[in-house]
Amino acid sequence: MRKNALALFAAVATVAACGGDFDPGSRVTSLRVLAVRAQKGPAGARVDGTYAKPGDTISLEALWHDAKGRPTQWAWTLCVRPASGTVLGCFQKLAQDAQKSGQPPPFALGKDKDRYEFTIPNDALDGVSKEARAGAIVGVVTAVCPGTLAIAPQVAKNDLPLTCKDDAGNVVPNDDFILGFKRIFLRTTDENKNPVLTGVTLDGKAWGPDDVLEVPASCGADENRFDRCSDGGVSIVPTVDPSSFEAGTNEFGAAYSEQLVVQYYANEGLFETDVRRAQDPITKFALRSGKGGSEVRVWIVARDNRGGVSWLERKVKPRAK
Amino acid sequence: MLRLRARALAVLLGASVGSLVRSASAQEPAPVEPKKGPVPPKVKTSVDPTYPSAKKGSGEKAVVRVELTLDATGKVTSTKVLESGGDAFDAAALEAAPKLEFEPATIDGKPVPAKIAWRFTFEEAAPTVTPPTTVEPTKAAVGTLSGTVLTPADEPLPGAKVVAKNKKDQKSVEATTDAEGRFSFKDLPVGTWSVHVESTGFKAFDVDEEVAGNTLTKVTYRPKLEGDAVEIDVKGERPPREVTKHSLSAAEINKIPGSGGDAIKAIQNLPGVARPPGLAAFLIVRGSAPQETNYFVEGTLVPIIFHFGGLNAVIPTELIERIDFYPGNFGPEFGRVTGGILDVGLRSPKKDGYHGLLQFDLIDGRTLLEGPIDKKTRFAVAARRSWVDVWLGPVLRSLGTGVSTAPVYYDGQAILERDLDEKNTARLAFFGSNDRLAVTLNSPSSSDPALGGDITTTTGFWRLQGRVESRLSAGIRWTNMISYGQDLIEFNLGDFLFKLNSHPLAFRSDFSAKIGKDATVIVGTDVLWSSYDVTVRAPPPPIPGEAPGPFFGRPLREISGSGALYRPAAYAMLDLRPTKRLQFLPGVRLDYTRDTKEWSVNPRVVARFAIANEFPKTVLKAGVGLFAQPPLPQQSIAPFGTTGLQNSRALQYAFGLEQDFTRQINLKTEVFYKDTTRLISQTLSESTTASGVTYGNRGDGRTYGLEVLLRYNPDDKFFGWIAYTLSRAERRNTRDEPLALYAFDQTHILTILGSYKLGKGWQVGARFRYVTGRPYTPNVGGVVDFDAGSYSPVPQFPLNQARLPSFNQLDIRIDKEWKFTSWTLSAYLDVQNVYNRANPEGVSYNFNYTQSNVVSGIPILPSLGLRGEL
Repeated sequence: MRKNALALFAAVATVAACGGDFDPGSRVTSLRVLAVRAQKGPAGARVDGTYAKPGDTISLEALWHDAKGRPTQWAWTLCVRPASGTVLGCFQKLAQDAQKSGQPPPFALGKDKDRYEFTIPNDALDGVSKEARAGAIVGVVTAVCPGTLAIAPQVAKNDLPLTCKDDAGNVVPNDDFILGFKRIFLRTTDENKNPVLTGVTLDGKAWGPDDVLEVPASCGADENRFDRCSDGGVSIVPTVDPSSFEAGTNEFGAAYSEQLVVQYYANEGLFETDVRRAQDPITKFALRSGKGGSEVRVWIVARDNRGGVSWLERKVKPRAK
Repeated sequence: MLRLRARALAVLLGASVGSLVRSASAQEPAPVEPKKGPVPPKVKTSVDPTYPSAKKGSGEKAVVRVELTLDATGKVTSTKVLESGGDAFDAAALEAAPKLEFEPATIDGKPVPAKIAWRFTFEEAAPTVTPPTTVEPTKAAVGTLSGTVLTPADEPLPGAKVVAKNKKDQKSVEATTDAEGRFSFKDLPVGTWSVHVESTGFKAFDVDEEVAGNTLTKVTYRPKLEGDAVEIDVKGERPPREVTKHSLSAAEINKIPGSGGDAIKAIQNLPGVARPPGLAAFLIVRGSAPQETNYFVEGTLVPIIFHFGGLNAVIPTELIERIDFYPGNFGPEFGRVTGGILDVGLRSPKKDGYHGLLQFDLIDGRTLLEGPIDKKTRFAVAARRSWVDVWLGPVLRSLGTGVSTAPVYYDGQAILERDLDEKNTARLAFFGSNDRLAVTLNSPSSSDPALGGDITTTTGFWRLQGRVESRLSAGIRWTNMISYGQDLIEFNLGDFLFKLNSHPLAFRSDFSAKIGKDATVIVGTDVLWSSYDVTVRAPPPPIPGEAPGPFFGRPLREISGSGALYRPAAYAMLDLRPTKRLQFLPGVRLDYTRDTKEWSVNPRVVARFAIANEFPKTVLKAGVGLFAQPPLPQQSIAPFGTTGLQNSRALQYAFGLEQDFTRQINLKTEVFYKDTTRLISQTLSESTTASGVTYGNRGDGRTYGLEVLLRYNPDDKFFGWIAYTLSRAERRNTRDEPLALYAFDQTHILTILGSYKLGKGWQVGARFRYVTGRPYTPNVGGVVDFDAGSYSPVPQFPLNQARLPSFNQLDIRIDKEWKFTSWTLSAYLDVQNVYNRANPEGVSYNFNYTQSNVVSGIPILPSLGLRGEL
């Protein structure tokens, strides 16, 4: 019996320790795309647009950062009503479409093209049974390469026909070549508003876009665990507007109640926790000694679980000793 | 089932003395009927052995016990030393033994071959012979006391020492039970005799018997196992009716390092059972998926057999009488799965007074109360509650987790049993289990923000079961069982929801009758009806091989449905013994599945052939059978699944050998092959179906392997075994794919364990395990899911192309026992993973799945325990 208890303890410890040996995902040290926000409608009259209907024009805008400041090449394409709303489901739909047409997917390419606009096909919901409507989506695939993208003529079943090479012609490794996926939900009347971040404080002080506040460099230079830093860091508290927590009944008659989270990123430093529920979004932050230079960028991203997203970008600097 | 099997001679014995059989504490003299029933051989010519010349002058005394095989004329045809007195004395005994002459043993007056134990006593001055039976001429004021000593499972117990002491003059006679567990004292002076029975591994006991003049007093004794009052029979690969079995005694279960004294967990040390992933609460049997093994309690299907984390079984060891475990080729009384069967039998409440148990440890606390209500009725009630929440709750809270209900489990059992008359026993049993968890994670997982917020789970079931067991005659038995209950599974994670509420009603009827000297017929029905009410709000499942998450931001689908499953079945089997060496068991099972509207006929046959029928036995065994498994309800019932599915099928073959080497050491080995077809695989169809997935009978697979069990059966000092399984399990989702390793494949599974009593209450044991790492599908990177803000791993196809490193671990256990007048105190030190190996349990990835490392399991873990027993 006692062995069982200790086994459980060990398992809990094991789970808790998972990932402890890796750099945290919240530390942006390479090319990263942190979020893609969707709006719909014509320019000048756009509204939040993760829920849209056939014929709607969707505008996407990416939040991204390359720690190395390289020029990037972007590619965008669509998978309409994939069999699965997962990444592989979209890739397989692209492969099927490519096999039918004999052509690779029609990628929209562009340098630093972090915005993309498309119109949902008018027949996007044709043939979708009533019971399957809740799962109908248009998937948007994004590729970002810190070099040059090449499109292969052959399409594999579970992969994209894209290759990213640097200026020397070397294939860019996976952790520096971004592939991303976003869903636009096909709904006739349902709407989804993006969460609203009304502000943020750092150790209780208002923290505006132009403020560069001080943060202690209380962590070791190679530290990856916040609890080993020498003090508690600073508190970051964003404010999520209460109207962001949407609830109701959708067009299929099912009740819903949004789940909201706040995610934290920075190009240097450590967060106590890098994801918080939006109801209790406080986290703590500290810098590592000797890292990050004179200015560190912090991104605060709020998401709902229906594709809605918004963000704030702030700056800090190491506190003088 | 256990009660329905019998060896031919045991059946004959039972038939002839059935009405006279009684427990050790009962007494029922019967008139002498010399030509009825079994009569042991009677010595005609005794022989004095020659004292070995090499020992002359030494004054040495010795006893040699020899097994004599007699033919139907009473002639000694073979001899074997059962208990050595030394080489010289053994040789002298074997030289003398063939010169003995007997009147043959008879059954119903007919001479039959027999096997008896004979004891030669050597003393230099005057060698004597102490036969097991008194062979002097019958006197007027004398009677006969004879009987059989059986194990609690009604198996003959050979080699047991039986001493009868006359209470009047204190003179005693002694006998040793023969291969069939029989003994006999003839020409005992009338009066009260104190009988003492003892045998290694069993509790000695004493009982008074009255011997009347010219009367045969027949008795049956069933000494209890040492260490506990329960015997756990674990039958490996048990084809119909007692073809192969592995048995673990309670004394073994309690002392196996790593099993925590849990009977059901102990079977994980046997061949054919793979090591499950850490904290998994299921069994992996011969490479099958967990859902391809069904769990039963007294023939009633239950949804789980372990509490969460596999910490303990849902039925406490204290209430278990037997465990029938069938890794494959099981009999037609079971069906609806293509993997294994685990059937747990509840023991009868004690009727010799009130007993109680109160036990606490770090995992749970339990209580048990049982005893007689009247002479014919007894009861048992038991309950258990885990304490995990007491210490895990604060741990989780200290980590910032809001905890309203930390993990906790409960289970309870109640049994009311009544002897309706001499032939019928009725039992009403309740058993149930409930596992709960409710936490709030304020810091959701960075790999999937959906894994946060309010998380609640409940997994519970209860069954009310009525059973009547009728022994209509010695050769006819009829058992009827009906049960009703509830399965409740609720899971809430943020906006996700799964709720299943079902009420299964099950009926079983099993009738067996001996229809001739060498044939028994078994027929039965197995009916399952279950209402269900299901609500699911979740994303559709992923593509096979793809990680299921991240879930955050994926469209949810809510599906509800209610209805009823109806799955009746009937079966028949013959137990034929055309020769003494051959046992042949053909059977067939007929299943109907209403949700798929499919009839399924599943013929099965098993045969055993004894190359050597006497000790040391050599038995060949073989089985082949067809097994069918209906689709899971969520696969076949709209709107969750796809209509028109068929049963999965498995054709199972097995061939094996059993070999005794000594009385303690035997070997069981078997090769098996399972060809599985019409496996159900899924394709995604989010645009066409409500569930977003379509199922089809497109997959197939195969499993084959070798299982070996070399075992030292428990004696008064040692028990242990080496279990080894070599196997390979392959499957594919569609026939246009190549077969690939199945996720539950484990090539090598080796368990070596032993426990030795040092004396003075000390016992030391160790278990070593080596297991090939399980297959897994590596990820080659990740794609950012912009709706979740985290990465979705990209698997490297084909599936399961990589393996975790192998697992090996040594566990040790040291026990010390102090016996007091009325109670026993024991302490133990149990150390898991003695050499602190970093055993792999899985693979961990960084945030974008470009880096990985192996996650290790339990480090070295010493633990100390105390236990008191009244």
